[in-house]
Amino acid sequence: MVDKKVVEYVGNLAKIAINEEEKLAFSEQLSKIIAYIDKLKELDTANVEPMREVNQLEDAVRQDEAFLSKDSEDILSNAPSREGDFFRIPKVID
Amino acid sequence: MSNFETVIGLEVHTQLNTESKIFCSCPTEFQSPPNTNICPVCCGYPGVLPVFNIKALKLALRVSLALNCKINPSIYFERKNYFYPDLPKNYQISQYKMPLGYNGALLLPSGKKIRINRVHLEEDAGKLIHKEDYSLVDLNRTGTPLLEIVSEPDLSDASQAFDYLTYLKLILQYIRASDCDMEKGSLRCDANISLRPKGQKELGTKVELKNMNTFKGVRVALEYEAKRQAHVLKNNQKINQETRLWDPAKLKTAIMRTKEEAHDYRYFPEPDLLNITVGDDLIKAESSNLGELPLAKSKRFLDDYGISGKELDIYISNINLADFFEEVVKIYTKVKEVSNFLLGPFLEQINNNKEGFSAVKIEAENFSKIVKYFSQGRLNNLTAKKVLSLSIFTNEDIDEIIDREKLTQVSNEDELLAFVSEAIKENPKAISEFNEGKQQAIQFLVGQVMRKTKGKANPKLARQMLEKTIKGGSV
Ligand SMILES: [Zn+2]
Repeated sequence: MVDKKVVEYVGNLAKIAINEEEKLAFSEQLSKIIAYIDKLKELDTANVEPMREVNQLEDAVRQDEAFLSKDSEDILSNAPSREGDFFRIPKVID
Repeated sequence: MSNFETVIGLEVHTQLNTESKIFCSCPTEFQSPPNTNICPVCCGYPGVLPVFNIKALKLALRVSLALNCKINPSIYFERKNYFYPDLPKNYQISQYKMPLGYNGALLLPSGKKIRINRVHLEEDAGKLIHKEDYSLVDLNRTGTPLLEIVSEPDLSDASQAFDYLTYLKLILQYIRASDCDMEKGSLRCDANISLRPKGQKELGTKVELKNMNTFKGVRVALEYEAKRQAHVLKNNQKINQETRLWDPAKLKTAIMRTKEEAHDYRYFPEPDLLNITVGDDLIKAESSNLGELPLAKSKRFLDDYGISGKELDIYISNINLADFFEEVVKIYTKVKEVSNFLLGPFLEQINNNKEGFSAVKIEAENFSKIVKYFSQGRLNNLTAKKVLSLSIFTNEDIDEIIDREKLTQVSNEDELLAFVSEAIKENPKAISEFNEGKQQAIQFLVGQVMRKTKGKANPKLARQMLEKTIKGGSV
C-alpha cells in the first residue's frame, strides 16, 4: 500500500510539488502498480539468474576518440535561462 | 586524547586519463570555454544512447590491478538517482553492486598495509559557480570518466592518511591512469573518521568529512576532527553520524545541512548499457601495462645506481626526472656527475618554470654534453648553468651555444695572466689581507677574475695563478 506519506517522500526525492488531490490519485495508482509487482513476486525465481537486459548482447564499446559535438550551442539555446556560455539557474545552496 | 584511537577510511575520486568522456565522444579537455564539450548524451537529452569508452575500462582495470584487487569478470552499470543541477540526467551512471575491483590492498612504503574495499567506474558531474543570488552551470566536466577508490578504515591517524594519499597518487601517475592534480580537480578526497576507546573492537560513530582541496588540507582537517571528537567523547557526549565540511579559512569542520532522506539513491541497473566482459586477455594486457611501480623503481635505483636517501626520494616522486636521468646515464655513464647536475641546476630551472617538467625540451644526448664538458673543465659552474638555461626549454645544441656565446672555459695560463695581474693591481687591500693569513681574501680575488672573464675562467687555475703570483711577489 502506497500511502500519502510515501507519495510525499517520493515527490521530495524527485523534487516535484504534488497537491493534495494528486497525492490521493498517485497513492491509488502507485498502489496498483506495487500490487502488480507483488503478484509477479509470487513466481518462484530462486533458480533464475537476474536478467539485466533483453538483447543478450555484450561489449558494445567505443574507442577513445574525441570530437566536438555540433549541438552545444543548440543545447545552450534550449535552456530556459543562460548567461553567456553558462546555464543560469536559481541559487543553489549546498 | 590518548585514551582513544582514531580510525580513518578514505574515499578518493580520480579522473581517468582519456581523450573523450566515458559515454560520449565529447573531449575531456579541462581548459575549454564553458559548455563547449557537451552533447545530447552527456546533457541527458531524451532518446540518446550512451556508449562506453573502452579506454576508461582499461585504465580502471590497470588501477585495480595496481591495488591488488580481485576483478569482477563481468561488469554492468547502475543509475544513482539524485536531483542536483550539476547532473542534467538526474542520475549518475555508476557501479553499485558489482564494482570492477574489490578486496585489494595498498602496501605503503612504511610497510603498513591498507586494504582497498572497492574500485568502481562512474561519470563525473558538472561544475556550479555560485553568484550572489543565482548560480551558473558548466557541464564540460559532466561525463568525464571517474574512478572511485574506497579504502577500508585501516588508517590510524592523519599523517598516515596523508602518506596513503601521496603514495596512491604516485602509483596512479606511474601507471599513467590519472594526472592526480588536486588543483584541477582531477583528484578529490573525502574521509570517514571515528574514534574508539583503545582496545575496543567495534568502531565508533563515524563522521564524513568533505571539502578538503589539498593533501595538506586532508591532514589538517583530520587532525582537527580527531581532536574535536575526542573532546566530545571526553565530556561523555555522543558523536552524531553526520557529514561535516572542512573550512580551510577558519581551520574548522562544520556540520553540513542535510535532509533526512539524503542518501536514498534508488539504484537500479542502467538499461541503456550492456554488460561488459572483463576478459583474461584484457587483464593480461593491462597487467603488462602497469610498468614499474614505485617500490620496484626504488630498489632498482639503489641497486643499479647506488642512489639512496633524499636523492632517491626525489627521483621516486618525480617519474619524469627519473626517466630522464636513466636516458642520460645510458649516454654518459658517470652516475654521480649526472645526478648532481640533475638534482642541482636542472631541477632549479624546472622549479622556476610555471609549467614544471612538461616545459623541458632538452634531449638526453644534448644534456649529457653539458655534464661531460663540465667534468672535462671546458665549462665551469657558471657557464654550465648558463648553457643549461639556454637549452633546457629549447634543446638548442650545446656546442652551438658555447660557440655563439664564447663560453669555453679559459684554462690557458697565457690567456688568464692579464686578468690575474689586473685583479691583483686593483685590490691591494685583498692582497694585504691574504698576506696576513686571511684565506677568504683569495676567494674574493678569484671572483674578480671570474667577473673579468665573464665567468669563463677556470676557477681552479685562476686561484693557483693568484696564489703563485702574490707569494712570488711579482706583481
Ligand atoms: Zn557529450
